[in-house]
Amino acid sequence: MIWHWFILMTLVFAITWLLGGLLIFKKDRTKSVKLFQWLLPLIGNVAILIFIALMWIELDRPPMRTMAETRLWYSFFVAWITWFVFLKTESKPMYILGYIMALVFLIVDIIHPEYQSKNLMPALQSPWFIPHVVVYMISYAILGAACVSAIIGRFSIRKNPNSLSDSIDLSMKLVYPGFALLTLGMLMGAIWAKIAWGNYWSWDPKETWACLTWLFYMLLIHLQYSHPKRHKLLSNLLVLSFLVLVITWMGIRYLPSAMSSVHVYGG
Amino acid sequence: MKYFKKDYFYSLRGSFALAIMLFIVSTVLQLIFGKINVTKLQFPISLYLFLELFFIILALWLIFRKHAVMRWFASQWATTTAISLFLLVVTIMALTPQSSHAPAIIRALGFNAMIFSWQYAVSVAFLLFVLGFVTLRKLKPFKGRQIAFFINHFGLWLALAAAVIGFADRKQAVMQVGVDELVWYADEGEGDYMELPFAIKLEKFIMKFHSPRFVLFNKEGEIYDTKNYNPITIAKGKNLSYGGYDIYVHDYLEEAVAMGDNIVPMSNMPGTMVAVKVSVNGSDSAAWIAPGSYMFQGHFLQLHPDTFLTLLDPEPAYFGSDILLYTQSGIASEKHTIAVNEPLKVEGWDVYQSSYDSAMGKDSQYSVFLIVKDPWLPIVYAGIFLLIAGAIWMMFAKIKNRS
Repeated sequence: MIWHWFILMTLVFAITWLLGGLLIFKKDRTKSVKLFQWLLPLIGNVAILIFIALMWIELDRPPMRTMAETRLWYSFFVAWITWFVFLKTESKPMYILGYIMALVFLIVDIIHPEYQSKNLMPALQSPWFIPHVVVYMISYAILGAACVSAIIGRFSIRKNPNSLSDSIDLSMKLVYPGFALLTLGMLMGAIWAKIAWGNYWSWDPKETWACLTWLFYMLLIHLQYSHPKRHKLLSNLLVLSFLVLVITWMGIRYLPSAMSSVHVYGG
Repeated sequence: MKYFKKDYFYSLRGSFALAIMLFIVSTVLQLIFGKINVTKLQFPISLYLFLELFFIILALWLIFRKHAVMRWFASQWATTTAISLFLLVVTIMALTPQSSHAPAIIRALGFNAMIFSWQYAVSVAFLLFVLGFVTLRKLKPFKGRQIAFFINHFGLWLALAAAVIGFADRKQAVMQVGVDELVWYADEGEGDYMELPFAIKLEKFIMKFHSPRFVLFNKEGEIYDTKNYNPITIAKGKNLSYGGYDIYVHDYLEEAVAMGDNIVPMSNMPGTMVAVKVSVNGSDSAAWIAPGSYMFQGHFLQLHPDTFLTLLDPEPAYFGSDILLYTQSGIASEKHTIAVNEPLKVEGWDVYQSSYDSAMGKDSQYSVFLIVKDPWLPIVYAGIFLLIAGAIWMMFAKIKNRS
């Protein structure tokens, strides 16, 4: 049973990311140091991919049903996006916070593995299931990275007054594709809902919150367009929007307004 | 008109203040007039409304596009107001349970039925006007990024306008069809029935199950939450470990009936249940466990004074109906299967497998279909596909432009 290896595997991911993280701070930048600072976290990223693949084979269904399973995907995408963002920008804080975020969600999975059954209910047996969840998880991961970048900017503002503007720049570069994927995930969900339940939009609590998340990022994009210099406002909105996103993703079932949601699946 | 030239409306603070002002005004309207009766907006009124909205926006733009007020309505400031007003309405919807059981004050404010409230109507109307004007403003020159802009904004306008205005034209009803029964009417709720241009005869209700799962429970019948990862597939001859016990499966019957303490295989009979013969921790004695059905009691195995092992009711993996379809326009009898995620299109209606007699499970003597007619769907989908195209563009084009 692959899940029994999860703690050990998480340790493997953590060690590769940590060692890579130590190398990026190494003073003497020899070729091999540079090579391994890319290679080590890459090993962790590939390992997480293999873990998900094995889990998929063992469960004989896409491992996307329970919260724990979506968190695993989230960590997977965050790890890869962090790797690519670091490859492009060499931003050390992005590396550290990105991988910490990936680890946090893995640790939540260790604490709350939840009862994971093999079974997929009829409504979830659809060709839309995988693209809907995967697109959303990639979007969440990208928007998480955008939030991290905004936070980094806010905290390093004393050291470097330009840092906030730089990190908002990076955040917004991430927000555009993140928002595009958020839109795709939502619209695919709408088309699927029409096929499964007869209506593309029913203001189900999860849908309402998804719409709210979408509107927050929409406001952010428009404010950045009209007020590119309002860095503090934009960074606040980046963090707030991500907070709403996390509530949409994981907080729904704790809300009194969402007790009847069709999106609350066991686990 | 002077007001619109004042700096206040051209500031972020002013944009937000205007959103709050509009919210307060629409709340007052809500308090005075109450819930909006959307059934009045059915076809043909909905069609007039849609066309009027389209042409009024177009005409206002063509006539007044140089005017200061219109310039404001097509600006980023109006955009900020429109988005934040709608965001405010959706926030309230997200935080307030949408049900008729709400305190009087919440009901008066319309917060418990937000999509029928004045606040919702005003926010959507404002959004549609601003979105319309902004789209028109950016129409020239129609090339490059402007095309992407148009696709995104007009797509949203189309989907939103058609969805909101077409809301009252969407018809939904329930058909309950018994085995071998022919039904040509549907229940619209509140005792109203409608005749349909088609009829359904249920040949057979079909249900398939996932393999059952073990469960441990105590004397009070409370389930022990084992919480561990346990994708067990029960099969004959397997050694399984569950909840700290080693369980050997001697026999596995998909369909069985209880005869006294014994369990015997039996198929094609109502009330059959899944049953498994197990022995625990290498014990010599084997016993049957079964979840029970509406005809037979469950069987369980006592492991400790306060621990019992049995099977959970198997979860449905599939349910659907084999039907014969008849239509007014000429289909005499045509075989179809309707299942979850596999609706049937007929005479402008979509027929969905909705439910069944849950007490009888696989032996349900009837099948429940949800039927839906949404004449505005093609327009909403046109908007959705524009938005999808725009999102794909945004994903690739923006990154390229910026790097």
